Amino acid sequence: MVKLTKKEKKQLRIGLLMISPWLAGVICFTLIPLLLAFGMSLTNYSFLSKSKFVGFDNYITMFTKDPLIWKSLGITFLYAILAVPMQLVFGFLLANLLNQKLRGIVVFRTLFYIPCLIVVVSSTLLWRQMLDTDLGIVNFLLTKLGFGKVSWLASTGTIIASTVFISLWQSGKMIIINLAGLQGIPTSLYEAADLDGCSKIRQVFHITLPLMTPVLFMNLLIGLIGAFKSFTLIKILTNGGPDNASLVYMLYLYNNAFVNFRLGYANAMSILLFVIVGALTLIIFRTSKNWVYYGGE
Amino acid sequence: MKRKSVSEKTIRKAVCYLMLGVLTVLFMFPLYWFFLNSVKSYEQIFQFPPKFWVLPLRLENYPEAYQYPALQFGQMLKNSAVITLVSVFGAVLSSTIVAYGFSRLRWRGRDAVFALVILTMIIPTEVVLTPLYFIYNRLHLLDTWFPIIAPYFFAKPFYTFMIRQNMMGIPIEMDESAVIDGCNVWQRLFYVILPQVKPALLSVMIMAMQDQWNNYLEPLIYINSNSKQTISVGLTFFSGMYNIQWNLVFAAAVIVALPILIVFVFLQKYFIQGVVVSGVKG
Repeated sequence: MVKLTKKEKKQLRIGLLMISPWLAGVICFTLIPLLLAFGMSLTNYSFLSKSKFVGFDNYITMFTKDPLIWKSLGITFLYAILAVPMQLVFGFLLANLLNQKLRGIVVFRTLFYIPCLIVVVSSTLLWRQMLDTDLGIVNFLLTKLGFGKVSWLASTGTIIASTVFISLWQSGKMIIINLAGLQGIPTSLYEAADLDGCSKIRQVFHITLPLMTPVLFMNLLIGLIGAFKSFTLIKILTNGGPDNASLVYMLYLYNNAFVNFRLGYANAMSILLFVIVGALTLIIFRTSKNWVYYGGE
Repeated sequence: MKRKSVSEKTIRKAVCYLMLGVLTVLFMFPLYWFFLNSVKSYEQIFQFPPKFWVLPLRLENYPEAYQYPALQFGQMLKNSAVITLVSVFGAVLSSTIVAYGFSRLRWRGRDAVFALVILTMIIPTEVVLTPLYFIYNRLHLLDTWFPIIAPYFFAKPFYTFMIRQNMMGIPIEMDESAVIDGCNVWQRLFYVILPQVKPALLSVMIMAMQDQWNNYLEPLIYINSNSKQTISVGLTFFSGMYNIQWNLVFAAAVIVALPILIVFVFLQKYFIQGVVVSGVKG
């Protein structure tokens, strides 16, 4: 243990005092519940019967006897694989467009942010009506344009496509974060590139993209975690149906815990979610050395 | 040569405007449809082919939705308002103090602990829902607002991160001269540092407000009584009722969406500024 001087001790005390709300919060709302979740995942706890220690039974059931786990994981992975890259590319491109020096650009920035201000429950109810197969405006416009009708909320593929589009429509936060990143790039770099006769397209690939990798990295992380915990949109849009075609992981967890009251099992699912998210984060951090550029800072 | 570059510039601008125009139509149309549905009559909502405008506007939808007998709409709206206001207060207060401790004060191990804050940002709160439910059940706190509000008083990592990034940009001389003037730790925070990070505080305010007003999963799980329920969950009850009038549901959905929109209109200038200043770089 390093010996602290009197002054350092005082500094440490004040510092810890200041951050104590966060520390207390992490202990009460994250650490203890996480340990408890693991403990409960080893029982068959439910509100309906007495709980009993069952060892790793819940985990064994999960991996060997419950096809819905795999189904819900598959749907969630599929959603993440489709939604996250699209969010990244779309957010990056749109932010570049919104970063142009144009008259009235501030108005456009605000306009593209507005959809993400609409309460999720409200906007989901709206999309549910707009995506209706027979009476919805989306299919009406598609048939006007010469396409066929699509049963948007009838199968896994189309439901995921719909949710990806809705998530793009409400990706204002990601666009703003991208925009903030773009504005942090010194204009002198572009001016120098202009003088060297470098085309605008090449500037995007050789200046913007490398300098934006820290932002893209953060968006990738936020997007991926967001995809794995997505719940509200699907719960209201389809409630997992039809026939579990859109049963995302969090919805299945919710159903187990609060509809079927299999809390022990639901806790095992929570732990698995934690492990998956942790593993993905670790992988992203590990690979980030190869593609994230932190400049000479 | 010069002429060519000017016209190239004009073409580039025109292309940008064209793309922005098309995207704006795509982005704004659902919003237009949202408001249009809220002023249609019941028959017009299910009319096919759909109508792209209606006259007269059926503005009665709003009071009718608000007073809908099977739903305590006004009560739920009030609940959400109180929960959100208290949470925003807690979020701004706690994350400001914690961010101050992580940016303006020097103490051993500070940056290592801050790395932990970033780490906890990654753990989804959804993971701890079931154990927390168990704890709140034991503490007899289910069906109260405590589980929904309390976390906001303990410096959520993302808000703290935002404010801390802004505080890091303030020159250290400001603290030093305040020390010489005899300010203590708290005075420095409130009189010297806070005025410098107003945009960040406003951004956190908007974010916390949006997060809590949007909160759906937690009230759904923790609250049973309709009289204590929030409007997000209430709205889904409304849409789930048998034989429901969809025009009223949309009027209700618009009412629920409005408060955030209004606040944003007033604070948007600071909001974008606050996020931009924070950089996003670690």
